[in-house]
Order: sequence, then structure tokens, then C-alpha cells
Amino acid sequence: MSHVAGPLARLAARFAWHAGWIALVLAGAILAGVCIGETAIPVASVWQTLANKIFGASYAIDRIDQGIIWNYRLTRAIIAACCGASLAVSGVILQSLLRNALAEPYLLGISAGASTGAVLVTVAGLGAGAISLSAGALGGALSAFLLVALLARASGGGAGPRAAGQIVLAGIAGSQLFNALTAFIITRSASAEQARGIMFWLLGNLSGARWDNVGAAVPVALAVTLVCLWQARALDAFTFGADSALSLGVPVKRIQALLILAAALATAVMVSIVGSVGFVGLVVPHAARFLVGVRHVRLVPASALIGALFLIGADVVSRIAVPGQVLPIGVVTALVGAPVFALILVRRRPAR
Amino acid sequence: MRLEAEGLSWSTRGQAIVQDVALRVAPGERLGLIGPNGSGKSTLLRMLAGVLAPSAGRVLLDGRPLTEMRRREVAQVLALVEQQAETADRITVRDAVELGRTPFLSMLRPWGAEDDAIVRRALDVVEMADRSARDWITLSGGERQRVHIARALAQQPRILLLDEPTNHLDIHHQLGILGLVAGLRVTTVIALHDLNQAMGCDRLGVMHRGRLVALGAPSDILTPDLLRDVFGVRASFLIDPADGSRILRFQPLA
Repeated sequence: MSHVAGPLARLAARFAWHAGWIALVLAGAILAGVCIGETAIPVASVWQTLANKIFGASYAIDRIDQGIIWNYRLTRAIIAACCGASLAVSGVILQSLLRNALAEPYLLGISAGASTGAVLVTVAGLGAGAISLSAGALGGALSAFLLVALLARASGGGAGPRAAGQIVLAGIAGSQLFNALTAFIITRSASAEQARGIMFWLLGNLSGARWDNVGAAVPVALAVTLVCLWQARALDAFTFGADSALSLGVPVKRIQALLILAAALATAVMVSIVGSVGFVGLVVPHAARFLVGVRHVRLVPASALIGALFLIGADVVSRIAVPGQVLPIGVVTALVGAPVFALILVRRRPAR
Repeated sequence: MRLEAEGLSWSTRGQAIVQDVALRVAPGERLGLIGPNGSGKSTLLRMLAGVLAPSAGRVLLDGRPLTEMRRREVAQVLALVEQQAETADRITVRDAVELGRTPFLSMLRPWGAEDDAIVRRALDVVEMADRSARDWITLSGGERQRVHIARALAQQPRILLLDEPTNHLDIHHQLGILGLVAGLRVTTVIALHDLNQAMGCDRLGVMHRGRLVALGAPSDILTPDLLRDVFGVRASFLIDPADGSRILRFQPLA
């Protein structure tokens, strides 16, 4: 058995080593995200707060500082990391399965659908409390994906260069429809307080991030990344399309169902916590491909890490860019993402 | 490995594309599929490969129905080279060939030195070993087709299905691909357009309007009568003075 255990042990060691340094980098980024802000917080205070809260130590630090660190900035940074990783991996999944460089939860209307589902549950009271916010968002996300996929197919999509345009056009139609529905539901049945929430669902906002959200976001982000990593070879096999994947022994329908469900679930959970944040799923996988190549074994973890770092950074920018104001995080990601989208469009101009 | 088709049919929107095809390919045999455009060659090949589920009938590998096998099991013995499979991903030649190992790998069976050796050999066979680090987008049509064949060979298949592998290639590369396929010691089913090239197969199957209208040795199949009925051309045989072999010449029907 040693010849079998050899490569397996090496694989496990490699996994542990990469997981280890990625965790360290993430912890460092989260720490930076906690310290940087309108009022800078010294690293020592962060350590002391963590020690107090986690290990029951009794360092004497300002209660307000401790509150900001523990309940405000730390949750924000962790949620930002989870959201970035989930959206980036969802982008990788959609780009690989749809064979389309422009596929991404936001552009395909999946985020908009999740917003509508979430608003239906919270504002319009769908399900009378029996349906959770995340379940509503998941339903909305899956309906939006189905609608967009059907529309793209009906308009002559499928495979080939024309389909790339068709699915993005279908995504625009889907996004507009679901955003309009969200606005309609909020203005019709919400209080003035909730009406301001429409900005939250349209632009994304981390200010609502609390510890109970962390409990949902961390497992979902880890799960979608690991499922995607587990199916990395199957995703590679889609390089030459679904038929080619089939002839390479990939159970295409099952993989598509599993991974699209995973992407929709991850998007839905993130949207239910932070609203729709655009372009992360587009920008990050392309940046990751540029750095580590197209093989999913490296692309998936790289995208998850870069997505997490990108959103932690975007959150810091959103907090310090305008003094006295916090920008919606979607504004920051769109300001970065839209130019990159344009760049991809220009660079992918057909060679023929 | 024996490949059989029983009553294979496929129709879409009420139109029959392939109808009631039965054939049996013996181990090690090279079967050529010929027929006009739209006669159902590609559809038949896709059904034989299990990529397309037949509307009726079944495909058997050594007597076992394809539908009762796992996709992975099928891919471990049968490889398909499709017509013009393309990608916009920035992969290298080696990446593309490594995909051929997919059906053999899993969490418990990671990539190993043996896989490296198989990929290297496949690249050698198609004479692309020196270009293994090249980007896919920089390859010519002939090079891409050779890489696809190398990818199929990396599956170490016992049955190889090729859909018009010489399409869009210049004559030099056409002969190169055909020579390459002829030298492989696997059961091969190959769809071809060039009837002179088809003469090199062990047997030929003729597809016409979705039906397999003739099956047999090339010399029995490629007759002026059949070529007139199926392809709508007048054909005559010429003798190549260089080696005395027969060559088909085509003219429109008067």
C-alpha cells in the first residue's frame, strides 16, 4: 500500500501547508481590516480584545474600543472575507460551466434574484415567518438563474461565441426585472425605514454584519470553496465544452446541478447578509487566472483568497474614502469592476 | 474491445436524424463512416460515444449496455475526438493532453509519475512533444487536431471514435493524421469526407439520410452505383501509374 499512501500523504501535506499559509494571510488581512479605519486602532488593542473575548483574559481596555473592535470591525472584516471568497468562487463555477468569461452572479442577475427573494420574505412577509431570509434569497437566486438560462437558450445561446453575448444580455434583462421587483416590493409595503433598505439590496452594504451572520457566512464560504476544489478536475474537463467533459467521464448533469446549486446558495447567503455586491465574481477569477493559470486546483483557492482580500480591502476603502461617511461596498467594487469588465470585453474581441 | 450498436435512432423536433442503425465493430478493426453532409455521421458517433442518449436502441461495449456503465468506466476504455472542439481558455498543449487522464484520477488517486509518462508518450505519438508548453491559441488547426488526438490517446482507450479529424486541414496534415490513426493499435471508428482516404479503412459504413445503407469492405462499397445514389455524383476509377492503386474521380451527374 505504500505506493498508494505515498502520493496521498504528499497530497495531504501539500493541502495542509497551503491551507496554513492561506489562513495566516487571511488572519493578517482581517487584522489589518480591523485596525484601519476612521479612527485607527492599535494592533495591541485588537489582541487584547481577542484575548478578553475568546480566552476570558482581563486586559483593561476602553469598553467602547472593545465594542467597536469585537462587534463592528471584526464582524465586518470576517463577513467581507467570506463574501469575497464566495462570490469569487461562484464566478469561477459559472465561468467554467457556462464557458463564458463574463459569467458572474451579479451580471447574470443571480444577486438581483436573491435580493428579491430576501425582500419578499422580510418586507412582504412571504411565508409568514416559516421561510428564513436565506431560504427566500436562495429561491430568488435559483429562479433568476433559471430565467436567465432559459432566456439565453431561447435567444440562440448554447455554446459558441454568440452565446457569450446572449447570456450577458439575458442577465441584464433578468437583473433589471428583479431589481424592479425589489424596488416595487419595498416601496409598496415597507416603512420609510425599510425603504432606505433598497440601497442596501441594490448596492451592497456591510454595516449590518453581526456575529450571527458570521455563523452562516463562514461555513458557506468554506463549503463552496471546498466543494469546488473537490470538483476541480471536473471543472477542468469542461475546457472544451460539456460534450468533451462527458467523453472524459464527467457526470455532466450531476456536476452542473451540484455546482450551480452551490454557487446560487453561496450567492444567496451573501446577498441576504450584505446585499448584492457586483463584479467580485468577474474581476477576481480573471486576476487569479492571470496569477496562477487556468487549472482549477490552483484557480479555486487563489480566487477564494484574492476575493477575500479584495473585499476586505474594498471595505476599508469604503470606510475611509469619504470622511464621516461609509460608502456602500458595492460602489467600491463596481468602481474597480466596471473598468475591468470593459478591459475583458476589449481583450476578448474575436481574433478572426 | 467489441463495440456494438442495436437499432440506434435519434430524432429531434419530430425529425429523424439517425434511424435504426445496427453495426458491430470487431476488436482492432478500423471502420470508416462516410456519407453526405447531414447524413447523421456525427450524431451516430456521438451516440456510440455515449455523449448523446439515443431515442431508441442501445450501444454495447463487450456486450454490456453503455447506459449500465458509469461515465467514468466508459471514458476509461472509449475516447472521442470531436470535430473542432474549441476553447477560449489560456491553456497549454500539455494542459489539454492532461485532461485525458481525468477518468483515471480521483481524490484517492492523485496525479502521479505514471500519468506524466502517459501524457509524454501521447505527445510523442502526435509529434507535439517539442511544443508541449505552447499556448492553445497560438496553435494552427492541424496542431489543435493533433493535440485533441493526443488527449484521446492519454485516455489509453481501447476504442477510439474520430469525427472528421482531417476537416479543415491542409493535405500534408490530413495525411499525417490518417497515418497516425492507421498506426494506432486500437479499435477505431472514423468519420471521413474524402472517399479516397476512406479506402484505407478495413470496412466502410455508408450513412444516407440517417440510415446505414451499406456496410462492408471498401472495394465492395465504393461502387459507381452507390456513389451515384448516395452522393449524387458520377464516379470512375483511375489507376495510379506510380503504384497501380485505384483512385476515385468524381464528376457531376449529367
